Amino acid sequence: MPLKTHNRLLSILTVFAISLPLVGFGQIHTKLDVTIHNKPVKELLNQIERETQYTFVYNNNDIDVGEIITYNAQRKTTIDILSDVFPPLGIVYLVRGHHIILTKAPRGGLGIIQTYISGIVLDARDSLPLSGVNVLLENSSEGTTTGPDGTFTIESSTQANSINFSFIGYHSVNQQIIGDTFLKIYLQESPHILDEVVAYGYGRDSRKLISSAVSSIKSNKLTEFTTPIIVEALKGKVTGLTVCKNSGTPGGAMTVRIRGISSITAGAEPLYVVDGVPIIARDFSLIIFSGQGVNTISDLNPFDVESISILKDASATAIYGARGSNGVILITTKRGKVGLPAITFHTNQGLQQVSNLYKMLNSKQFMQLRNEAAINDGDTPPFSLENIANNSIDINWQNQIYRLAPIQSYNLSITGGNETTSYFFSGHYIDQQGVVMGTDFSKYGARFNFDQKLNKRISIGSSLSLNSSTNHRKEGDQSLNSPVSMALSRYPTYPIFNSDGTYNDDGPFANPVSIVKQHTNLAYNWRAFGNVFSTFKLHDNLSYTFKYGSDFTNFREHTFDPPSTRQGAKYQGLGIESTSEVRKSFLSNILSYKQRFSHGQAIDMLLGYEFEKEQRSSTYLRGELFASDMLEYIISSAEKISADAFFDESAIVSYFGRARYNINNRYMATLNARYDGSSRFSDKNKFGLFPSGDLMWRISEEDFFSSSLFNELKLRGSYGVTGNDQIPDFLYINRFSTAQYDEWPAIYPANISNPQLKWETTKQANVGVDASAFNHRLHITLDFYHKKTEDLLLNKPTPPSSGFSGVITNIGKLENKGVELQVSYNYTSDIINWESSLNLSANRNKVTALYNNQPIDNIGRGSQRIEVGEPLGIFYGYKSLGVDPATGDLVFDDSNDDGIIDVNDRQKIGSPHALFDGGLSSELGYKNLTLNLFLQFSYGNQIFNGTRRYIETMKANNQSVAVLNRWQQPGDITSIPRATNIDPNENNRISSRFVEDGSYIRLKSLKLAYSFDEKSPQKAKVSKFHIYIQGQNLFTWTRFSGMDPEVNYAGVDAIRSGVEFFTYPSARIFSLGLTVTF
Amino acid sequence: MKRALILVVALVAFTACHEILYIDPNDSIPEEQAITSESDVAAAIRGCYDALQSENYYGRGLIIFNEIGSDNAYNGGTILEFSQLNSYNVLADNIYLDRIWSGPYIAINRCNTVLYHLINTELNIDEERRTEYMAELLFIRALSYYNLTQLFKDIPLRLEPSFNANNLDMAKSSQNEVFTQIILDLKSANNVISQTNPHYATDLAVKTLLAKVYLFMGDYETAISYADTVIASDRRLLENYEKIFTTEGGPESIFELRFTKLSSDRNRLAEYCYPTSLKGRYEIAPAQDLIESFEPNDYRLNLFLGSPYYCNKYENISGGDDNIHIFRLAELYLLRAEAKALAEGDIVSIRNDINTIRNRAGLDSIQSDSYSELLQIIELERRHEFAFEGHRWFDLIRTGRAAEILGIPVTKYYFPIPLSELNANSLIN
Repeated sequence: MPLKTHNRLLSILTVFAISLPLVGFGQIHTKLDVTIHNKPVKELLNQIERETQYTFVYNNNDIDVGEIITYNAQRKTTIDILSDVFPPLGIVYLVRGHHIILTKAPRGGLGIIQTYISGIVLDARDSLPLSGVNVLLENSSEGTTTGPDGTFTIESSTQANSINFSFIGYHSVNQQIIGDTFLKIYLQESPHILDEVVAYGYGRDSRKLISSAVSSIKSNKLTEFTTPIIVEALKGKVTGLTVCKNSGTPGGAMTVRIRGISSITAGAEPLYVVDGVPIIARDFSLIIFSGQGVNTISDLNPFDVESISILKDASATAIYGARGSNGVILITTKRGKVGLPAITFHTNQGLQQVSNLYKMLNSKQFMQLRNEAAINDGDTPPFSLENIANNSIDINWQNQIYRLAPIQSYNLSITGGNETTSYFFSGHYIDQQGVVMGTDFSKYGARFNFDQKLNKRISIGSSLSLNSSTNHRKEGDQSLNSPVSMALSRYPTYPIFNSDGTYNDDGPFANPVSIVKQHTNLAYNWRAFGNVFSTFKLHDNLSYTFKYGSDFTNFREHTFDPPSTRQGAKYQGLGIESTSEVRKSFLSNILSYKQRFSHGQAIDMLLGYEFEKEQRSSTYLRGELFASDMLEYIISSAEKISADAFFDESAIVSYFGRARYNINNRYMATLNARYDGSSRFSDKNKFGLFPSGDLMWRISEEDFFSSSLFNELKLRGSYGVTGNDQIPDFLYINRFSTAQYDEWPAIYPANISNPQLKWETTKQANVGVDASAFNHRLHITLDFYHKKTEDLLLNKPTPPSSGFSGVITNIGKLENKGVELQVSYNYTSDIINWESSLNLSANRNKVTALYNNQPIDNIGRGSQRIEVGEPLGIFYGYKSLGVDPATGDLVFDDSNDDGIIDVNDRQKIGSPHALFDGGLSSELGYKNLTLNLFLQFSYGNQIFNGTRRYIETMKANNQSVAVLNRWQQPGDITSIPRATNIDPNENNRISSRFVEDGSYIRLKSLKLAYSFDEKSPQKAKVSKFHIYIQGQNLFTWTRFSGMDPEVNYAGVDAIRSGVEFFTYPSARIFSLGLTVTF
Repeated sequence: MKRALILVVALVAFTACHEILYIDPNDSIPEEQAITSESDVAAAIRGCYDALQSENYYGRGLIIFNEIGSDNAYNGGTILEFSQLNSYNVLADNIYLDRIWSGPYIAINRCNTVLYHLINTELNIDEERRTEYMAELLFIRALSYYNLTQLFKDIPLRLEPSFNANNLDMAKSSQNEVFTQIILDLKSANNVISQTNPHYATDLAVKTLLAKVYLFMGDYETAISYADTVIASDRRLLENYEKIFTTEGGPESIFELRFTKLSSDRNRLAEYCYPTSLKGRYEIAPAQDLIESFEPNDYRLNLFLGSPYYCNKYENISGGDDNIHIFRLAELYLLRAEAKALAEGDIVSIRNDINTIRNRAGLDSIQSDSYSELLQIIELERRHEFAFEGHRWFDLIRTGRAAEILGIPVTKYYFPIPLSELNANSLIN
């Protein structure tokens, strides 16, 4: 039945043809006109060799190139021509790089009994051997995987018609078994999302076999932005992940949330796992920086990362047990690639500019305002008309501290290897100066990842990273050391300098220029983290992996306020030295077992034991009375005010396992469980069990499913339990802390314990659909989830009259439910390549139980509140009804109609939670040019603008120009109340007046690139060349009146989100970049 | 061989080491090990003085409520919440109100905890010493209740430590009940304490508080008799008024909270009083009315400097080691005079007591024969003598003169119970 054979082969060939664009771009698209009339095939081969870069390879004994054919074609691609001409001639062709191999089509392929099959599997791109490829006889359980050299051998007594080769990230190939030839199989890397390799907890697989809610991002998307912080690169890229920049401070921490906030008191940050090791990702600063903390996750270089997976549902996260509730971010770094050393150099040079500032009163306006306030209060105006007329000082303080700031980065990586050894080496340097003078983040580091196969059974490897960073920061908040706050507060009537050239520091607010120039605040971070591992193949189906990981962070801070600054003058110089050191050891043992059965059934199992210990120590020194402005270390301080040292440790021991049962890649069921023990909990509740499972059904694999529209249709469902242990240690015992009185030690009761304390548990159900349609052009992933968190570790408020404000208790409940939609579409033609992707996430957070359902009230600058039935941290205060035209004072809503405006009239005045957020990216390629656009948005959230509470309430600070519209005389209709210093009506109270719409759409990036890929790398020195120009944060459409709608003055705090309070604004960045590969 | 090796590695690795999950704290002591000896008791009592030092209590808050809260000062700085004090309209959600509530209660709970251990824990302490320790604790507790009831009137009266998070709700006791307990505590503490260092509770401090409490309650005779005892003691007025604030534990001191430069133990009043030109925050700015009420040659006016005026009773802006004079002898003279005037007692001795204080300040003796006039003079003398020491609001409430002087209704004499207490304590609404 030769015809059938041809059809099968054709189908393989078609797969090749579809996938070729990745490798052979430009060749296969060359279109030819062919006119052959009764001439040998040789003529055709010659024409193709002449007009394309292909050459034909064949054996003259097999192939008769003299066979006469007649063939006409207009503007057809080589592949199309080949597929027209060769099959009728009984010739099979294989495209391999620049070569087209012709072989004789097999005859009578069916029904042959095989006892011995061997062969080699090669990468179609570079003809290098592929190891680890699954080789399986059709309809049997017999199979093997290829060795390091790509070869395989199957001995089989059963009768098999074909043999299947599959490898994640590559197209599968079904090869007819014909005779006992040595098979040479080329696997083509798949451009389809379905074949993309996705890492999940303790495993990886192709996207089509992922049965849980996992989003992934590839390396090229991670380096799209000019940022040293890897988590910033995730912003707006995938569903279910919200990244908020806490401030524009270079190197500053971000707030990262996966599927909403699942905790109130315990941390809400996800677990970060790098190359299988949970890493230290927190802020160790001992000097308070009001939302401008540094997260040690910034030590990871985005250029070193191969992929990031966001684990969202319980089935994906429960294998991380007690730390899975907040989601898991799995980071996989790049490993060596077989081949000659490839050297890639990347640089980016940019300029940053502050995009939006408040407009403040000038001197004249300011003096008039102060006079008006005094008159309204019945006091004497502080400035005479003469004062106002003669004043010559008018400083716009913001202009004095912001600047155009450069950012530059350099990356060099070398990767290479052979069948047994491979390596990835990289080094980087980045320097980002801040738009506020005196701020700067610089960092350098190196990575070395190494893999060695010792023999067929044992391989070893390591992933090591060394980093060092230096961060010059400035304080935030209202501090007299905060340049941003002082630039908005200090009066325009004060000069920058005194007549003697020293900084003028008169008035209630400090001189921001003096701060940016003289105040020193340095943070040094040294970080070494990595792991070594070894895998033993105990049996064909059973392997054991041992991994030891270590993470070391040394975070040192040095601050100095010289006596000539406002803050320093108070103490005649104030210096602080602090060091935090964190050491973490990690040990992992994993047994994995894979067994295949007949009829496409397979089972994968995994059993693991892990152990983790973290030790933290810190020292803190504070000295005052410094001898000179020049001597900034505490050795020069005459008075050592405090010297503290501290040590603590915590540990986790875990057992876990997983079983995955797969039938024909059509049905799959997974069960996970982890049993975690933590030192943070009392003896009673030391251990917790976290089970989960999922089911997957690929409808498109069913026989009955025949759709010309869908290429893939998959249903997923999962349910499971995860935990959260991010709480302070030792809350389960009553403890006494230490203090002193009269220079003698003192002790005092520090807490009310809770011996019943246990894990927070989150139960999550998830249903998802993955679909691909229109010939893999359209991909849709839709997920619905419902997360219920119980036993929330909550500070159960105790009456303050008890001497304690609360006790940490498992009392609360909250839920997050939501929808996530990711849609991507790509269109490729000869010269145009268009790719677009939209992601939308809508999360609804609701508190469902609190202690006695008492609200937790008045939290932070935005007077936030936790109340049953409402989302976490709603803004709660007085509702402003506007300015009374008669009095100029605000009228507040008397919500309980009792005739008095008091605390009982406070109500919900806003919520920091977005109704939905997401991102839209679009990439248009035309020949060698690529235009890339990325929009990121958030809709329906409110911001409490705490800054306006200071610069629009006529109080001590300088005021914004908004107050020019203030009420001045009876009858004025305006939204700004009258000028007053004493404010008897409390116009400045926390009210809806300061709550603003926080929705925004931001043109996060616009990038134009020219790239060039050398097709014959052997001939050229440069194989890849990529140059681009990019604008970041170019434009923001928002109604928010502040400097930047991305605000989080309280940093990663889960409750006090969405509050603007003198936040360091984000910058607009223009940059130029270049990537060259040799 | 290789397999054996692998097996060994695996076994070692899998041998669970659960001991690692049992870790003891390094920065705190489990309660059962905290108070086991006399020196532990002494340390725990120092923990109670530490609570008095809190910036939510004597370290800042109590002074601010008395000064900005009255006509002595206005808020000249940037803390918005203080302006509610200025306008006599403190709302229940004011964070500083919350703090002035919790500050004294933290001290009370610490006292209750140590008292509990002194009574219930097997400790090797001499009985006399035990009684003395208890007296010290009862005094600190009584002082804190005295402050709380002056601020909030009816309040929960907690006499047991808060060990267990359950059953912490408690209804308010009336001011009378609170005073009954204060008297009970002070009476048991009276005539017990032998030590005389004014940085700690002394018998004179107990008696001073008794005098103050009886004056508040209107039992003038008892108040006078305690005042007599204290005035008759070895304590004496410093000749130079300004020296009171620069001498540590001087002869005039009866109870003087000691602050040091250790950063965990500092008094922030200098920072709050000093003007920005001297690197302070100027949160507590002297009212023009206060300054103008001084006679020009009053030495006590020397503690107000600059233009605009600032208070210089606390002067260590960087170190914050200014002590707080909770009781000093001068108060007993004015207290005795007030009690006698209210009891319509001997005019001459009233005048003598007033003049003792006036003369030290470089002022002439007064000659009035009218009790009501004398009471007004005493009120003014107290305002001048104790300006910025945390007395004025309490004085005006005690005498009931706040309505007239501050122009506020009687309903504003006591602050509202803070929202945090209302929310968490179901027995108060």
